[in-house]
Amino acid sequence: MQRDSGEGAAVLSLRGISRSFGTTRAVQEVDLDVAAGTVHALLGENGAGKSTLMNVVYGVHPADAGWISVDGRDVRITSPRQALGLGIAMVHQHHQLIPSLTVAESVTLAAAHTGWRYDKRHAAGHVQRLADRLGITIDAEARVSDLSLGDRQRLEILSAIDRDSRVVILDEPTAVLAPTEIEPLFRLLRKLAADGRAVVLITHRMREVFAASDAISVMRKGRLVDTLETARTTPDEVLGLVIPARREASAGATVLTGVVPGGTTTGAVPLPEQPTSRSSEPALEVDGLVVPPAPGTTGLDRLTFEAFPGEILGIVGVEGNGQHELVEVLAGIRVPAAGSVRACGQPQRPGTLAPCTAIVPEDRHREALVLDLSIEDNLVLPVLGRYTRGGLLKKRAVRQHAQRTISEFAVVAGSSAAPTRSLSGGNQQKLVLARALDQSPRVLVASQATRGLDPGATAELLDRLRQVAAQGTCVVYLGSDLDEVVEVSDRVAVMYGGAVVGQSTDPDAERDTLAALMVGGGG
Amino acid sequence: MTGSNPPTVTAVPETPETPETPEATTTDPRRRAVSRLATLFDRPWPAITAAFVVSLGIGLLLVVLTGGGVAETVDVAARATVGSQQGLIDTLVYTTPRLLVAIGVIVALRAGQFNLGAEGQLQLGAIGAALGGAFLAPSLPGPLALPVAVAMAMVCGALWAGIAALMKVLRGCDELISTLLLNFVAVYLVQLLVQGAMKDPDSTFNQSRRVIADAELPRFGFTRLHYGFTIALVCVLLVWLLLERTSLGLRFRSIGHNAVASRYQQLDVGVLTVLAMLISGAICAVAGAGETLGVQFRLIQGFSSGFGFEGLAIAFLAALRPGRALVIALVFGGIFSAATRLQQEVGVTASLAYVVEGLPIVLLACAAGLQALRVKRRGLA
Amino acid sequence: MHSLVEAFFWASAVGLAAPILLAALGETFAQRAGVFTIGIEGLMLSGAFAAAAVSVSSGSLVVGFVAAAAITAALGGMYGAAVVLCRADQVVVGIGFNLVVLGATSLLRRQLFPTGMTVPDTSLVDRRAIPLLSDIPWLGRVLFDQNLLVYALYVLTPIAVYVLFRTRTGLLVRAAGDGAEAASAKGIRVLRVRMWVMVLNGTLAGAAGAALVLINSGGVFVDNLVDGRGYLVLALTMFARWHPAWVAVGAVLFGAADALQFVAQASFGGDVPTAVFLMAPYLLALTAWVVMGRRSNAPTDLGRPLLA
Repeated sequence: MQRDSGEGAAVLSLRGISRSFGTTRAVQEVDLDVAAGTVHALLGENGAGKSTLMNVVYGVHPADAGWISVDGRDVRITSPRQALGLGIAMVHQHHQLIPSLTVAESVTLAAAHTGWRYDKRHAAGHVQRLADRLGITIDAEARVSDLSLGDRQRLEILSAIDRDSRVVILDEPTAVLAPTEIEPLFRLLRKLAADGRAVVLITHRMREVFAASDAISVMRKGRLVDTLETARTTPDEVLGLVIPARREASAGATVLTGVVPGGTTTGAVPLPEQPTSRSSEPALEVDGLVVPPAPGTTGLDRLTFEAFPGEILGIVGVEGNGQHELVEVLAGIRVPAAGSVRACGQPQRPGTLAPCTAIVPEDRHREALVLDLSIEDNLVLPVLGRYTRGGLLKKRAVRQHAQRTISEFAVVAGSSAAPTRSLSGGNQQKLVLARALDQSPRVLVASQATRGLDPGATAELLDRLRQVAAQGTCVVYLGSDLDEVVEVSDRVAVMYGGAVVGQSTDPDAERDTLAALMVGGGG
Repeated sequence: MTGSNPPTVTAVPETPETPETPEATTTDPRRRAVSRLATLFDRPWPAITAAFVVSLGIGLLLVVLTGGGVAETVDVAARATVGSQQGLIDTLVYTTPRLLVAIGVIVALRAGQFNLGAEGQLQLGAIGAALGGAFLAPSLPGPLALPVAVAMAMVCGALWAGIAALMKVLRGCDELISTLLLNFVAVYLVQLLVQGAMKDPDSTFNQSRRVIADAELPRFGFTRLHYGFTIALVCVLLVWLLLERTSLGLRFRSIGHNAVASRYQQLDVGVLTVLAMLISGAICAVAGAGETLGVQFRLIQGFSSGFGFEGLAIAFLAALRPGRALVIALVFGGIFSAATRLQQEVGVTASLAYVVEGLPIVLLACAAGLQALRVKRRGLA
Repeated sequence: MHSLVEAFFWASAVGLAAPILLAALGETFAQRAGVFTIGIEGLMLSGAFAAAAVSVSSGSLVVGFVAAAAITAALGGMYGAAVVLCRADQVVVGIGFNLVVLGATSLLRRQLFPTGMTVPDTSLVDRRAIPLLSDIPWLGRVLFDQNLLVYALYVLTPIAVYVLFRTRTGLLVRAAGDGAEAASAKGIRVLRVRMWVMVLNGTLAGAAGAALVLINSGGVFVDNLVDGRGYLVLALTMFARWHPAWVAVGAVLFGAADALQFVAQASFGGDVPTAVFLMAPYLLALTAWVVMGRRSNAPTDLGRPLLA
């Protein structure tokens, strides 16, 4: 399958592309050539500017400066519509699909030229033929809202091919896929390249780069560091470009350990002795929880597990396998159809927060924080009674509490009266965690807590969780990234179809088994 | 993975990437984050002033087009507002119900409830005040007459708003529409009562009996201005206290900005929703009570010339802040006073006031929308 | 209660339903595309005023009707410019717009037509029986002995259903309201779709307002003639779940509530106050809403400007 990446002419050329957001210079003077017939990986950390650069190409965030040429012709792209007209399509990480439409309607909608009339049968046939040609199975009559995330992605690619796009950009396509879905995706991408298209693969995962690409461009802090030919480089060389500090870290460990100054490495973390934690009573017992399935999620199907004081129980699974429902039930937002929860020995009253439990919900902006309220106000929301006298807020006590938390958790904030909207993601997450720990919980449930955080903030957060567990708290960590969950947890359970389908007390060694379980494979 | 992989699992930091642009995620799941209006209309005073100047200019143009002279109009408008004692008093009289409604809807809006039913709630307030002041008060000791009448008004208004709140909490009916519809039911309810059950048997007009003297709102000296204005000022202060200094107010603001996150923090969104609507309805009802006990002295049809919507306009322009609402309400009172005087002296219809009051919010809403677009596009926080 | 099954009652219901249905069809498209038009009240009122004003001045009802539709089409465009292009908050603009229109129409009526506005001849909305069909017992009188507007709606409603669900245009409209950002990222010109829909909404609302003058008000324009019917249209659109066919059914129910006053004498005796009948459509809307409960398939982006 190896091709010479220099074989095709550059179908897409960027020269001196820059784009800022406010004072943040997201992309700075990037030159890039993407050749036809190749898969070109765009690699870098979070916030390195990869997505922004490609959103410039796709017209979502038009460039502040620089030139774009397609097939050697200079073009100006200020909207996705223009980009599509030039044969550039982009599959976003958060899929740009309309849930209420059917697959066939979605493809028709995105198509450039169709008649006034929408003929259901004709459209369905068209989609089916297209899917067959690419070797994809998809039900043309299905509603988008009923599709799995993988199917939605295939639908997006289908649309791009239907328009005969010559440049197909995919933003972190594997983020939503189960490990076993990744290989077929890469085969599909190769097929697209073999047709003479240029495929741009945005990713931050090294193994994907070597599994799928012909050329690698590395971005760091908004700049394009270098472009290498995949066949003539090594993972170590590439990694050195992505994070210079990483060069010295030992192979095998994740990058995280290398970038945190003074941070403990995974191996050095003092883990509580497993046997002692096992011998004690479970801190959290979830027994036979049932939540009916809904579009986009499997609900819970007699979910049962236990978690012990002083351990970090990782619950890993592809999103939409009931994790969100589990957190909702524990938080008292959702009443399960059946089943019960006990925390620190007491039963949970359905519809209320589980006893002595604190929650770090998965979506910081939507579920955890009230962004327009100040840091002070957010911090006291769950304990308002403590800061109220005669109905009036004890303003001074609230402020002192906030300032204490800010210094204790090293939150970078202008003032405690600033709206939480003004904080960075990492600092927002610190607040959420601080608020959860402020209630001295015996059980801490954290869901997708590192999402959107940069490596430093991620490492800090995971370290904090380890400390919390070391002090005897039971930590339940829900995540969709197997490697991260394995790294932080003492014990890993896999959630699939709303139930725990397997667990491992030695997750490092059983990684592949866990990966198989995540997609319902036997293990 | 394939054989091209190195033997060890190597990864660049394993975090699913969020969009790299700041502000790119949608933060509120509600289709209409009502309290967003607070930030939306948080315009600098020059912008607000400019919007009013444009709108007053258009108003003046309309007057001229319909045959008024510029100098004459300006003179009349001045005398109707700050230029004479009578004008000043008229302005305050017109300000009173509008300010009360604005303060009332601010409570609901800050808690995320789009209460467009102020008009209906103040109609119910008028009914309650008339019931208390004309029917119940005669059998009460004198000093109790006024408080009872006002309290009855507040209860009626609160219950009316409570209908919409319950419909929302129990049946998921959008309060935006239900409050609008309830307005019309309330207006016809007043008609029904003054033609039937509450009709003054000694009058040929469709109106209730006069409220007794003890239930009337006292006045300042010999002017038309009644103590409803003082009540309105007290309400401004109380609502400010409620929203900024009490934990209930914080709970309201929290559910107003983000109901989902509030639920994760164990706030009872349903109860708070109902509570906010009840308070909102009660305050709007005071506006109706003020008209009944301080201006008309009986329940009549059509006593409100759409205060409900003017109050909403004031609340928007004030960015849902009680203090600002006082200023804007005074401006609206002045506009209405001027329009009324213009009708008497120049012959221009007083409904001109609606044009002059409605335009600024449209203009500022457009400015705010474009600003939001710019922020989103440029990622400026 | 005997008279509630009479053909006369239901014929009146269908006749009174026509203006509401006409406006609600436009509003259905607008909401499907994501624009929640509180200002439909004002659009209908301006249509009513324009129709009366132009008819009185020109002496021709047809000219008045056409002028009303044209003027409100332009107003719909302006409204769209505010909420679609300027991304202004849809509810706020609606409240402001309604205030302005209420003020402006009252002002203009007093200044320009101090002696009142009465349309010269309302024969355009006279009932015209369709031969043969109108001879069908009961049904014929209810459905086929109606005015021209009702017949027009017999055609327009199915067209609306077809366009919304069976054409690319309908697909674009639904996409604009059900995933505006996604549609925009797919190269759909969401703003343009919404603008056109607002022009359509304005046109139909204006025509509906004109019809109100003729059908409900007997050709006389009075201040605030629409009197909340615009809000009824909003309610109807929402609990008919954005489907033109259900909108039609709901509109007839509103018409029936409106028509109650004509049969009041026979049905309830003479002692029911008129206010009860005036209240009836609004009570019906509220009741229907409580019964229908939470709407599940609301357009995702209803009420939300496209910030992209």
